[in-house]
Amino acid sequence: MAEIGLLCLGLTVVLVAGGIDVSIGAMYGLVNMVAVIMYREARLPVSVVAVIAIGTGLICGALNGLMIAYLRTRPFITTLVTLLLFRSITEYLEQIYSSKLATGIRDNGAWSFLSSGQVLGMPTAFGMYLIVGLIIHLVLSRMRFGWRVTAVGSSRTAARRAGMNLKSTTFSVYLLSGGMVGLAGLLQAARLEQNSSGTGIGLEFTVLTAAVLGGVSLTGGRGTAARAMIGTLIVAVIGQGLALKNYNSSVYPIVLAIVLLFFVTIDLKWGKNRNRALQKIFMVPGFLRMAPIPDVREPGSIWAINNRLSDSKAIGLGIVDGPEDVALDREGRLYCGDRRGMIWRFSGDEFEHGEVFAHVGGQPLGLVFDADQNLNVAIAGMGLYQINPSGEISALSTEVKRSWYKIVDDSAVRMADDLDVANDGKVYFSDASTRFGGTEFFLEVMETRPNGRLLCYDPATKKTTVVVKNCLFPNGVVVSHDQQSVLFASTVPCRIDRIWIAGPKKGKIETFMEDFPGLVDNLNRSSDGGYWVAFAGMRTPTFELTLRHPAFRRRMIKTLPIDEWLEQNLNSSCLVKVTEEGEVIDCLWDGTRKSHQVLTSMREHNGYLYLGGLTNNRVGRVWVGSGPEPHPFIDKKVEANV
Amino acid sequence: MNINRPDTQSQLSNPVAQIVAGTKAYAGVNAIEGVNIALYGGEIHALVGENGAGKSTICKVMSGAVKLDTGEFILNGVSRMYQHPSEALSDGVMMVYQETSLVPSMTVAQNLRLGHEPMFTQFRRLNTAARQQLQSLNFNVPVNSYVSAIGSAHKQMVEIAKALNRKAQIVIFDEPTATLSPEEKEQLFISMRSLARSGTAVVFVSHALEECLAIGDRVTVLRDGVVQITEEIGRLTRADLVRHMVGRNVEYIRHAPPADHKVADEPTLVVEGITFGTLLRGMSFSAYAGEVVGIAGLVGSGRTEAAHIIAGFVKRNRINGGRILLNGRPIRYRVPRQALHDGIVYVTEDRKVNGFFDTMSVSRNIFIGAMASSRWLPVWTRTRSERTIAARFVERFKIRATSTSVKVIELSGGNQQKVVLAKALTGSPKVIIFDEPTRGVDVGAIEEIHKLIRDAATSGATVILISSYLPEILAVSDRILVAQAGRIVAELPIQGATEESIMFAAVH
Amino acid sequence: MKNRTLQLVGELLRPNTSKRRSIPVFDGAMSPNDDLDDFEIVENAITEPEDLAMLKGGELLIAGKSGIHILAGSKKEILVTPSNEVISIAVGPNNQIFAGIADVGVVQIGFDGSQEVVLNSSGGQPLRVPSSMTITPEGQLFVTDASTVHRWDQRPRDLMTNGASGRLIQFDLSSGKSTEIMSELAWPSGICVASSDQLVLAESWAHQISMFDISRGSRTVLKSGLAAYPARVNLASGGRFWLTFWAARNRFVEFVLTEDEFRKEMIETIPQEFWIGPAIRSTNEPWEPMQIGGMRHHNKVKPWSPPRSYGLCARFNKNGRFDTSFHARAGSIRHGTTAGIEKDGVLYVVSRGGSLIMSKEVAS
Repeated sequence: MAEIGLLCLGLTVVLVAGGIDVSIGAMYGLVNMVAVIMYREARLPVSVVAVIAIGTGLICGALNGLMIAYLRTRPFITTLVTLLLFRSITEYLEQIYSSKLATGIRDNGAWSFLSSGQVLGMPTAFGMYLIVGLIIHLVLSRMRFGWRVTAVGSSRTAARRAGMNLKSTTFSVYLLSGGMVGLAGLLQAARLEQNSSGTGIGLEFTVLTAAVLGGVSLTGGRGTAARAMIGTLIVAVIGQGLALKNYNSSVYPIVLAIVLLFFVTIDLKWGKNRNRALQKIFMVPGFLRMAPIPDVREPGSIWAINNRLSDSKAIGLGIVDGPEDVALDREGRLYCGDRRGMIWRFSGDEFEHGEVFAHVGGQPLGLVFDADQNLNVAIAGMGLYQINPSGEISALSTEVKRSWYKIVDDSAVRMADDLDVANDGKVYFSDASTRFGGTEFFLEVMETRPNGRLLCYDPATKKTTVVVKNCLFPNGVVVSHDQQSVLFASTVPCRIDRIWIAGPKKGKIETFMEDFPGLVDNLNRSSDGGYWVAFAGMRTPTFELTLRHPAFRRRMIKTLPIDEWLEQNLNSSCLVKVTEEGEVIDCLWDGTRKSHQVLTSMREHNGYLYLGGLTNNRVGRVWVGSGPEPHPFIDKKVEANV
Repeated sequence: MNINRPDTQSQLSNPVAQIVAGTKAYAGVNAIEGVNIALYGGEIHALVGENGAGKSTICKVMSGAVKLDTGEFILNGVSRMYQHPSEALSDGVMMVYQETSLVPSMTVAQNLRLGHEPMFTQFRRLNTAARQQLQSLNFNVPVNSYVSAIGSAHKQMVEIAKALNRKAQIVIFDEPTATLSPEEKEQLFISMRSLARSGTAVVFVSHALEECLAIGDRVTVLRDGVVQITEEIGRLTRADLVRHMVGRNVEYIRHAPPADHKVADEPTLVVEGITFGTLLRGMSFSAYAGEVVGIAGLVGSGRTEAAHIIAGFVKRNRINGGRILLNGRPIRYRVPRQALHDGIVYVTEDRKVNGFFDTMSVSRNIFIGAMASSRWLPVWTRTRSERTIAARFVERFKIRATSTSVKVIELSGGNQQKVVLAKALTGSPKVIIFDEPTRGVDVGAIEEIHKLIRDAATSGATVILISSYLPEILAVSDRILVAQAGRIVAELPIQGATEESIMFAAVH
Repeated sequence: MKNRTLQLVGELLRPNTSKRRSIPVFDGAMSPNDDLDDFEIVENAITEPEDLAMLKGGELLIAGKSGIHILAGSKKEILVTPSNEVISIAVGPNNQIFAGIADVGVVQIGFDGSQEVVLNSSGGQPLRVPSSMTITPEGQLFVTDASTVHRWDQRPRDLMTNGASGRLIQFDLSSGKSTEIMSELAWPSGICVASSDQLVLAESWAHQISMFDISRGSRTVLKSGLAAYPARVNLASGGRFWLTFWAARNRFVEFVLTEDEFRKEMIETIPQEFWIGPAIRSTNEPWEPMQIGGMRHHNKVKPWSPPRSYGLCARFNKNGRFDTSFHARAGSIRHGTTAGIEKDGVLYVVSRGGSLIMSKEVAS
C-alpha cells in the first residue's frame, strides 16, 4: 500500500496543479527495473542504487515537466506518450538483462532494511510513506510552493496576474511526481525484486481512482495530502476485501472502474453546485423561551412611551453617521464614533467645532477614557484599540487564546462592543459574537446561540483573558460604583448579569435584572449611584414565537433572502435608569422618533445626558440634572473640518 | 446614499496619467478617436457612454491589454506603451476584474497574500492580519470563506484590498455594479471612496448614471468613440448626461404597421418571472401576434439570456425559475429542437459563431433551415428542391449573391445576416426572436432587414426584437420594453417614446 | 416534515407545479414608482375612509370607520354615523345610497340620514362582511360577502387560516329577492359591472381578478398571480377598470402561510394586532413586527424594503392587461389604498392608511 500511497501523493500534487500524469505506472516499472539491475547486476552500494533509482524518477518527471510546462503540450497526451516511452525502455532493459538477473542473488543489510525492516514499529515502506505524506501535507497547505501549485491549478489567469511563474511551478510538480515514483519504485524493487516489465501496468489507473475517491478534484485547485491518503486507504481496503473473498484478481480493476466512473460523475456534477451550496449563510438557530413582554402601552406603567428626549439639542447633525457611543474628556470635549470608521471630536461651548480625531477603520462602538486620558475604543470587527491624546492609534487586544475544544477558531475578537475601565486599569469589554463580524449583529440576534464572551485586558501584562464564556450576545459593560463587580448586559435574552471581581464572591455570576421589554445595549453609571441602560430595539411577540420554533427559523433562513427575515423591532428604543438594587426608576423615550430613532448608548456628564445611536445622524443632549439648565444651546450652525 | 465626499477638490495640478489623442481601430472601425483623458490622484473619474461608446477600449489601453494606433498614454509624465498587462501592473495600473483575478479554491485571506506569499503559513496570523486589513477599510468580507463562495461585491472588495496592498496608482473598475444588489453597491462605493482617499486615481466605468452621479468626482461622456465632455459632476445634471450620451445623426425610416392591422387580444407568449443565475431576476413580459415588441436595455440586462431560455438554448430552472406559456400552455424546453417544433425561432446575435454553416453554400444553409423546422426529414434530399426553396428566399429577402451556390462566408455582412434570417424564417415560425439583427450590417441592408422584421409581424407572427441600438428599436417596434438588471422595468408605447426616455428608464 | 420533502421532490419532477415558492414581481406596467405621493389631497380630515362612490350630481360619498360623509366641492358634511363600521358604499340608478355595514348587511341610507336594512342574510347565512357592492342600471345589486366564517375586523385571521368562504350575492332591488350566485371565494373584495351581462370580481387571498358571466353563471380568470392583495374595482374610461390594492404581498408572509404549526400557535397565543401580515399602515411603533430589510437608517426606510403596507392603484382592460399603475412604496404614508373611482377624467383614490382622499387627472 505504501507504494500506491506514494504514487498517489505525487499524482495529487500534479492534479492540484491542474495537470494529470498517466505515465506514473510506466515510470514505476522503469524505476523498478533500473533499481533491480543496479542492485543485482551492477552490484552498486545500496545508497548509490537509491540515488540512481530516485534520479531515474526525477529525470522521467523532468521530461514530462519540460514538455508540459515549457513546450505547453497537453498533459494527458504528453504523459500518455511518455508512458509508451518508459514502457518500451523497460521492456528493452528486460530483454537485455533478464537472463543475467535470473541468477545472482545478493544479500545486503540495507536492502533488507528497505524491504522488511521496521521504522517506529511499522514496516519501512509504510513509515516512509507516512513521513512523506506529512511533508507533502505541510508543503501543500502551508508553504509557498503549495500555494503556488493550488493557485496555478485553480485559476491560471489569477496566478499569472499575481505574478507567479507558471512554467516553473508546473515543471516542479511533475518533477516532484517523478521523485515520488522514484522512491516508490525503489521500495518496490527492495521488496519484491521483480524483474519483469509488467510491473506497474495499469497502476496509474488504480492511483487515479485513489486520488478521486479521496476527494482530489480532477479540474485542479482542490486537494490535500490527507485526501490522497484516505483515497489510498479506500482503494487498499477494496483490494484486500476482494482478495479475502477469494475473488479472481481480475475483478479488482472492474470494481475500481465502476467506482471511479461513479465518483468522477459525481465530482463533475457536484462541482458545479458546490459553490451554490456553500453560498448559503451557515446558521443554526437555537431555542429560547422568553418571559412575557412588559406592556409599554399600559398607561401609568413605568415603561410608558413619552417624548422626554424629543427636544434634545443636536450635536454634529448631519455630519456624524452612527455615533454608537459618546465620551467626554477632561476639557469637556465630546468624542463619538462614526460607522464609517472614524472618531469625531466636538469642541466649543455648543460643540460647534467638529473634526475627525482619528481614522480607525471598522465600526467604532464603545468609547471610554482611562485615567491617563487615553481613549479606549471597542471596534467591531477589529478588537480593542487605544488612541492617545495626540491621536496615535494602537491595538490593545485583537485575539484571545483559542478554546482547544472548539472546531471553529474563536481566537479573534470579532465583535468588540462595549467596554469599561476599572480603577486598577483593567479594561473589561464584551465580544458579542465569535461567529459573526461587525455589522452582522442582527444575524447574532437571529441565531440566539451563546457565541459571545466577556473579556478582560490587563495593561500591566498585556494579556487578554476570558472572564465569562458562552454569553448570549454580551453587549453593555460597566464596572459597578464600588468597583467590586462588573455588570454586563446580554442583548438577546434582554437581561443584565453581575460578575464579582473582588471580595468574597469573586468569580461568581448572579442575575442583576431580567425580562426587560427591549434588547439591552450599552450600560453606564449614573450620577446618583445607579445605572443607565439603553436598548437596541424592542421585543415583539411574533418574533419571540419564532424563538420557540428553531426549525421554523432554519427554514426561513434557507428559503428567504436576508432582507425578508423577521427580527425584533430594531427601529425604536428608549433609555432606562435603574438602581444598584435592580429597580427601574425612570424611562425616557423619543416618542416622535424625529430626533432619535434608536438610542443605543448614553453618557451622563455634569448633569447632561448625551445620547448616541447606531443609526442616528446626530448626538443628542438633554438636561437631566436638578435645577434649571445652565447653558442651553442657541442652535448655532456647526462647522466641520472633514 | 450617505457617501462621505471630500469638500476640497483634489489637486488639479498634475495628472497621474493621461491619454493624449488616443485612437484605436478594430477592423477599420474606430473604437476610440482622438480621445483626451486626464486622471488625478485621490479622485474618482467616471466614464459613461452607451454600449460600444469606447469605454472598455480606454480601460484596456490603460491596463496594457491593447495598444493605441496613434496617440500616447502618459503615466507620471513618462510616455508608456505596454506590451502586456503585467507591465502595466508593475507600473501600478490595476484593473479590477469581476472574477478572474482571484483563486477560487483558496480563502480570502490567502488571496490577499497572493504574489507575496509567506514561506510558511500560520493560518491564525494570516487570518487575523487579513481581517484587520479588511475591517480597517470597512469591508465586511469573511476571511475564512473560499473565494468561490462569496458574492461579486465581496470579490471586488478583496480586489480593492489587494490593490491597496500593491499601492496601485490607478485602479480601474469596469462595470463593477452589473450584478450587485443595492446594499452591495453602497458597500462598494464606500470602499471606492476609501481607495480614493488613500491617493489612488480611481476610474469608474458604468452606464448607470445614478451611480456615476453618486460616486464620481468628475465625469467623461463618450459617444461613438469620441469624448463629448469632461466635467465635474456637480456641474452636470442627469439630463445633461443623457443628452451627451445619445442623439445621433442616423435616422431610420419608421416602419409602421398597415392601418388596418390588428394585434391579437390574447398574448401568444407569456413570460412570468424567469430567474436564472445572477443575470435574470424575475423577468416578465408578454408578446402578442402581429406585433413587434422591442426590448431595449444595456448589455448585461439579461435580454439575451431570457431569449435563450425561451428558445430552448438553456434549460429553465426547475425551482423558482418562473414560467413560460405559449398560447396558454406552459412550456419548458431542454433542447432548441423542441422549441423549433413549437414554432419558436431565435435569430442569433452572433452570426459568425452560430448563425450559419460557413463552409456551406447559401442554398444549402437555407435548405438546412427548412429541414430543421419541418417535422419529418426526407430520406433523400433533392438538389432541385434545395434550389427552389433557396431561390424563393433569395428573391424575397433580396440576398445579393452571384449565385446561390456561393459559400456564405464570401458574402457581405448584410447579406450574411439575411441568410441567417432566411434560415430562421423558412418554417413560417409563430414566434421569432431577433437578437441584435443588424450588428455589423451596412446601412442599405439594415433598411431591408427592418422591412423583413415588420413583414414577419404583419403576416401574423409574434416578433420580439432585442437591440441595444435605440434608433432601431424606435424604427421597428410597436411597443417598447426596457430591461435593467435582469428585469423589465418600464413599458413604453411607441407614441411619444424617444431615445432619451428609453435611456432614462434603462439607467434609472 | 415528510410533507415538505415530498413537496420538494414533486417540484423537481414536475417543474410547472410549484405552489407557493415565490411571489410575482412588480414589472412592466406595474413597475414600482412613487406617483401616489404626487396626487393632490382632496380631503384629509376623515379618519379611516374605506370606500368611495359618486352621486349623480357629482358629490363624493365617503364611507369609513367614522360613518358616511358627503363631499361637494369644499363643503363636507356627515350624513350618518351607524354604530357599526361602514365598509362599502354604492349608488343606485335612482341616486339611492346603499351602504354595506359590517355585521349588519346592506342598508339603504336616505338623504335625511335614515337607515333601512334591505338585506341582512342570504341562503340562511347572515351577511356580515359586505366588502363591496355594485348596482346595474336595471336595479340588480351585487354584493360580495368576504367571509361567512370571520368578521370584518378578523381579516388577518381569515388570511392566516387560508379562508375561502366568501360569496357573491345578487339582490333584486325591486323584488327584494336574493340569490347566492358564487361561493367559496377567497375574500372577495371588489365587484364591478363590466357590461350588461358581465361583472369583474377581485379576490384578495387568491390574488386574482375574474370576469363573471351573469346569465351563464360562469367565470373566467382575467389575471391571477397579482403581486398585491386586490381591493375594489371600479370603471375607468375606455372600457377599462381601476383596481386598488390594499397591501402588497410579502415573501415572509407567504412563507408563514406554508408553516402550519407556527401559524396555529400564533393564532392561538398572540393578539391579532401583533401578527405578521399585510396591514393598512405601517406605524413604526415599537411592537410592530419588523423584517431585516425594514431596518431604518437615519429614521428612513429604503423604498424597496419588504412591504408591510403599500399603496397601489392600477388600470386594466377587459383582457386583464394592465397599462398604468400608481404606487406608494415603503416610507410613504399613503398606503392602504382601498378604492379608486374615475369621473370626468379625474381619478379619486382612498388611502385608508393615511386617512386621505386623493385625486389626479388621468388621460385616457
